[in-house]
Amino acid sequence: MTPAIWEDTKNHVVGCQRLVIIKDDASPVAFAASNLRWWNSYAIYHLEGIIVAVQEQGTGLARALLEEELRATRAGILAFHTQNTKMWKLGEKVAVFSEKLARSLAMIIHSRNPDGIIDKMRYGGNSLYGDGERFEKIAIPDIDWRRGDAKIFAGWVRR
Amino acid sequence: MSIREIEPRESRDIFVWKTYTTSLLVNTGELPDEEKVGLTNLLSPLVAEGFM
Repeated sequence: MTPAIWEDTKNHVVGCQRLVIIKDDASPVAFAASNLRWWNSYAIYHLEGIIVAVQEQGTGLARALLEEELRATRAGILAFHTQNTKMWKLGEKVAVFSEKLARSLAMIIHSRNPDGIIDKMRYGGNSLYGDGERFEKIAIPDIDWRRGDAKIFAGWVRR
Repeated sequence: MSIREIEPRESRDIFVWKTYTTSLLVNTGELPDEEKVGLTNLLSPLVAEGFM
C-alpha cells in the first residue's frame, strides 16, 4: 500500500454523496462512489469511482452494482471520467453514450480542462494508473493518458 | 472500525450467482474523522489490487 493509493482512495470515498460497498462475508469486494447532479430536469449519476476485487472481475459484478445504483437513484444520465476502455465499455452496457451530452455536461461533472470530450491533464500530468506498461493494454487509445488526459462519458441510462 | 451502515440490505435477484451484502453510506464527508480514516483503510487495499 503506497501513500499515493491511500490518498487517492480517500479522495474518492470521502466527500461523496453515495458510497456503496459490496461485501462477501466481512470483506469488501467492490465499491462505487458517486454524486448526484442535475441537468435540466434530469438526474445525473456522476460515478466518481468503481472498484472490483481482482477475483471478482469478469463476473458481472461491476455492471450489477452500477445498474442497481442507477435504479436506486432513478438517474436518467450516467456520467464519469475515465482513461480505461473497460470502464468505457461498462458505461456503454448500461447507458447510450452521447457525445453531445458529454460536451454539455463536461463542467457539470467537474471536468478541469475539457477539450471536446477529453478532459486534458485531469490527473495532474500523470496517468491515474501507476503501472503504465500493464495499463497500456486497456488504455483508451485516442487520449494522451500518460499525461493524465481522461475521456468524458455521458449517456442516457438504458431502461 | 465501525462503518455506519445506512439502509443495509441483502442483495436481490441481480446477484443470483452469489449472495453479497451491500451497504450504502451517504454524505461520507460528514463522517467523523476517525471513520473517514477507517473507511479509507478498509477500501484502499481493494483500490491497490483492483483498479478499473
